[in-house]
Amino acid sequence: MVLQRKRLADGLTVTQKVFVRSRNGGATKIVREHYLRRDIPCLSKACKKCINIVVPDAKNELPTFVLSENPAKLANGSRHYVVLDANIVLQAIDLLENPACFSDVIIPQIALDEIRNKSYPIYTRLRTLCRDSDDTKRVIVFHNEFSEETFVERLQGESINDRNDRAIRRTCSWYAQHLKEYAINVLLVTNDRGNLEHAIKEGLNAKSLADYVELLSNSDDIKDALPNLETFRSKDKDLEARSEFKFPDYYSTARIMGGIKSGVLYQGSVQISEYNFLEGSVSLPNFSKPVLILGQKNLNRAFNGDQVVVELLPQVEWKAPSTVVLDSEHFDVNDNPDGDEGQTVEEETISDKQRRLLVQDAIRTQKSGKVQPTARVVSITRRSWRQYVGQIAPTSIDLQNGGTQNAFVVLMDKSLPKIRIRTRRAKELLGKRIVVTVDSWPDTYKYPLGHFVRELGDVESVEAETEALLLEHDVEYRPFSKKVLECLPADGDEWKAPEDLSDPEAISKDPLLPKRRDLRDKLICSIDPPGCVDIDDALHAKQLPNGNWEIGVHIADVTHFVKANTPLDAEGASRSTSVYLVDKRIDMLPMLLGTNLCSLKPYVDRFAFSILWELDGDANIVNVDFTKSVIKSREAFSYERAQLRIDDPNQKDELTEGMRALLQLSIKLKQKRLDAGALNLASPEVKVHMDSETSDPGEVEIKKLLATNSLVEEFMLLANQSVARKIYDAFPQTAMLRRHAAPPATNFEILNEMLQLRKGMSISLESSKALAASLDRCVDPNDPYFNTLVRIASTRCMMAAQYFYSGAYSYADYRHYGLAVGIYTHFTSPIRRYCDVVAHRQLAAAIGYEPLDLSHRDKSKMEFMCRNMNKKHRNAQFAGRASIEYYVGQVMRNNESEEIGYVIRVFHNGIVVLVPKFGVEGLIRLENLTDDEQSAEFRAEEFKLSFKQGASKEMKDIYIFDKVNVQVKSILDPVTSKRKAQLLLK
Amino acid sequence: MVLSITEKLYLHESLASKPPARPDGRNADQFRPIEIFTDFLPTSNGSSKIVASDGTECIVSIKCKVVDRAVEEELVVVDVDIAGHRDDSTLVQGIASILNRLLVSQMDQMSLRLTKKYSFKLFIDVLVLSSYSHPLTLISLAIYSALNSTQLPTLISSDDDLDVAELPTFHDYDMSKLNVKVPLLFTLAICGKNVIVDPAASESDVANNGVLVTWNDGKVVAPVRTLGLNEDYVRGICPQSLVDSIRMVEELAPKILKALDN
Repeated sequence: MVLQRKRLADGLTVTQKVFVRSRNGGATKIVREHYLRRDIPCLSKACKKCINIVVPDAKNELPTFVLSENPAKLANGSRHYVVLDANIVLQAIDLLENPACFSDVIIPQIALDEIRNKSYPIYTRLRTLCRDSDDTKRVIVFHNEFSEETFVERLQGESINDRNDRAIRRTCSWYAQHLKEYAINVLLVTNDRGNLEHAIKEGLNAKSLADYVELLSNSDDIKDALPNLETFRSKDKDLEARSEFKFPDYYSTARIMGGIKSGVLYQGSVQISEYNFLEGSVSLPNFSKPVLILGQKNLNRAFNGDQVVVELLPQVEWKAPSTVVLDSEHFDVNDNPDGDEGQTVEEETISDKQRRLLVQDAIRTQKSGKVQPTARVVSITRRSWRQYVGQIAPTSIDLQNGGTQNAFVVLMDKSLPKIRIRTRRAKELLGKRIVVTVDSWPDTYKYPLGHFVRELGDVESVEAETEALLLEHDVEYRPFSKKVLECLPADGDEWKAPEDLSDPEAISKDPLLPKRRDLRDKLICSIDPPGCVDIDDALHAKQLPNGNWEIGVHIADVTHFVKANTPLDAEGASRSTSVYLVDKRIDMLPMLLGTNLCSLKPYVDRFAFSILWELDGDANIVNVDFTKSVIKSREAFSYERAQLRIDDPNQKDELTEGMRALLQLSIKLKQKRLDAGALNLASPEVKVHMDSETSDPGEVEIKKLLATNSLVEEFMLLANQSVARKIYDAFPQTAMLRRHAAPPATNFEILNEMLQLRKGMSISLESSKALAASLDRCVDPNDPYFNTLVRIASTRCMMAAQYFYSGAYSYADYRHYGLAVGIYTHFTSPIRRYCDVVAHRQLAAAIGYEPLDLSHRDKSKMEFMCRNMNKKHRNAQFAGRASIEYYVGQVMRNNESEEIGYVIRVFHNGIVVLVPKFGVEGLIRLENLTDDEQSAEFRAEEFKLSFKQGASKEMKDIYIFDKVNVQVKSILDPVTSKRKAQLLLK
Repeated sequence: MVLSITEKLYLHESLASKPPARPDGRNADQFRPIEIFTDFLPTSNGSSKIVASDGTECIVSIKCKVVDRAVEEELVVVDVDIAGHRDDSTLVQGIASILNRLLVSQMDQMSLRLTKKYSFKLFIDVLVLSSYSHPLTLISLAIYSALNSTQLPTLISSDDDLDVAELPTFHDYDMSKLNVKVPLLFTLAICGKNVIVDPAASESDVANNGVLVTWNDGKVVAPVRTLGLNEDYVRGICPQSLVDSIRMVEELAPKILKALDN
């Protein structure tokens, strides 16, 4: 087939792009018309020709010329621009962002397309670079595919990559030719060997990344940040490292697709066990329980959270989940980063027919015994790689060596393997928290290869640890960008709610104002934790003439300020939630809104979204009304102060009476909820008190609950339910809701077995009500804490609640199991949760206040939002917990003590003990339990570990749920430099 | 052009005379000039356009789809559309059924085979833009040239997927030529004792009968059958005419194939 170019007009030509798309086994020939033009400028300020050809774009703006007329000089003195191949951007985006190098960069459009397909985050980072071009860094995209001069046609027998490489070379040579007269060199930087060789053959100025960095005058500073890749310039040392060890190859796409279609391969995401980094599991749709993946070879380079394709192993290799604790920090500590060794495994092929039989066996086995089907990873669909925080393992480096050397970086996340980096500054970086990225994991390497990105600071310093945990949990903590801040009201702090809602001047600014109801006469107050500045909610109660109560819940009207489709909205959606650390809060919305304009502060007028109920004496809803409003809170209470005021019999004013009524009604509401089967679960929550002056952590306290806590909580739950019902009525397909699925019985199997064996108790799973009742029955008269312990254990067996849009599930599945309500959403904290923002917009549309934005009516957009919310919500929780853990460690650093603990897991080589006082749990390894490790005996079916204890050499049995005395002290792990509670049995 | 009874009689007698005198001066075994263009539809896998000197014009497009042989057995489907004739008319349906049966039975299905489970299925769309004489020969020639210019996606995954299932995956650009023996159909008209090939419209009107002869892989094959070309002159066929027809095709076909393949 011969492709022709047809001239349409002056400067416009049409040609065709032809390709074959294989999808689901089909092959479709696709022909696209492709238009070429002559008016694409080079965007160099030096160029005097292109200025004559440019045409304005759709917004009638002319392109800006970005590249400097006097670009940076190489070490040899020549001025240059750089054309980058896609692989350079993908591998070294950090380097590209580094202000010390890459000052004038041209990205061919074809490379940009490839980058977008391979990694969207890197693509957005590159786009940001292009957008923010300034004096130090100028990055442009040249649309080579649309330029008549640089478009290349694909040749017969040429792979698409070769064709794209050729297009990049053509772009480079065009630039070189174009800018020749201005004495600017154009340099192609690529790490693709073929491309490089061709470029040099064609007489282009081309270099690999490493060679290019050599050419820079400040090359020494930059070398460290070079990505560690198995480049074609094989380094001598790496040859050793690439010894016999080899991971199994991944399957071809054809095999994966065919296998998944015929039901012999399965796709899922890997969850690495928190106790054993060589044990992973994959939840698969057909199986009732996750399928195990055991060992390095079977995991086959999968990281925690990767999307993988697995195949079942033959029956002889099925195993019980391991009872050994193993983490990457203590495994192969002495492995040499310069040499990996391993052994080869013979394997036989199994036909698909046999595999299908195997699947049936596997499903049957899962239902019965202890032995579990195992699988192995045959392909990785999507990597979960991001930047990781860790520190250099001291044993892995040679302190005498001043030059570049290999080092292992042990990551903070214990379920991930060490990362091998090459650095010149190993000695300097020792004892620092550093950020690294994973570049690749070739099959001949035992550990993934990565490179150093930046250092965060000394291990244990508050700044480094806080930043580390934010990074680790993927929390966006950078300040809000200028674009986002521009969306805030122009008045800033001065913003005031209009005095009079019918004031024509105010209406001209905000045409929706007349739709607001003036509730400034209501006696509204807010009750929050002490020191709370982002007040989301306020309440009021008033007795009606008929004896019923008018109850109002007023929620900060965030959507008045955060309009859909603004950069502010996009930022909020991407952050999805505020993150609360012990000493710090990472806001979802800029300070001005969160703590001032939206916050329902006392004594000032604020916009609110109000829900007004009429409740009868038994807290039954007689009527409900939703409205946007203006309110004036009379007082902001803390839980304690509210409690004191209610309890004080001398206070007889209307506000206090209202609060008393709220309290009475909330007790009735709670009782109703409990009767319906709401769960009262527990987690070992503690609070760290900070010394107010030095902000050093002082002491740890278990959170106390007051009646006023549940006062607020009950009305928020009621509000959320009322709103959920309303928006579901208005938007049956896309209402923003939250659900909590009933836990599958299998989750409770082991816990029930433990309870049965040790205490003769059991947890019923018939309904949430039965579960609540059976939890109440799990009481050990000798140990009041035991019930809480069981609740903590049950919480861990529960499913996580999730955000969803109503079209994603059927009505029966909307249930919130934990709260025992049929439909639920989050509406009451729009300042710190994005779900609530969406719910606000949908409710506003439902009551006819303003039309709903399209994005909240589109299933696929809602799906995307929900997924992000669920992820960010989980991360925020983990980050908060990690922060507490860190501070608890710091507290304990100063006070070593002996505490009561409970055994919550028993392993082959250790036990896990929970210390309620600090809310910490820690592993006690067998070697710390006994001197005679050989004597230890582990009985999995009894959850018992016996060993000879101390000097007496008496056998001691430790069972699950045993109450033990432990010595708690904080130690710094020498390998991970992570401070954690060390527990020793007394 | 409608001929009067006398004109028809005159024409019939000319054609029946020895040697036959054809109105356009052709020999009995001579075709009208035709023009063929191939591969002119970018989105299809193969295409051809044929134009005969009397203005009959026909376009053939070939598209492919990957199918599981266990599900779909017929790997070739021909769809015929003739301008000015309803889809359910005898002419259209007759031609479609002849072509379908012929291609399914005569074409080597192995050449469409991809793996042990999957094959290409070909969709042959025939569009006759204008027809002044019986279009079957022209359609057949067009299909022949279209199939011979057909480029199918190149399989890059393994072709053995019986034990270990694989979904076929294709090269994103390269195509491979379809290699297949395509049968040709010849229509001949019988006038008296004469046999003439490629009858023009006026000749068809006065022919005593029509014969359809199939040629595949160097020999005459089934089906060989009669074809009613008009309603007034049709008579029975004498065996000698059949033998003559087959002999004429045997002589002609190699020359025509040679012309088409060049």
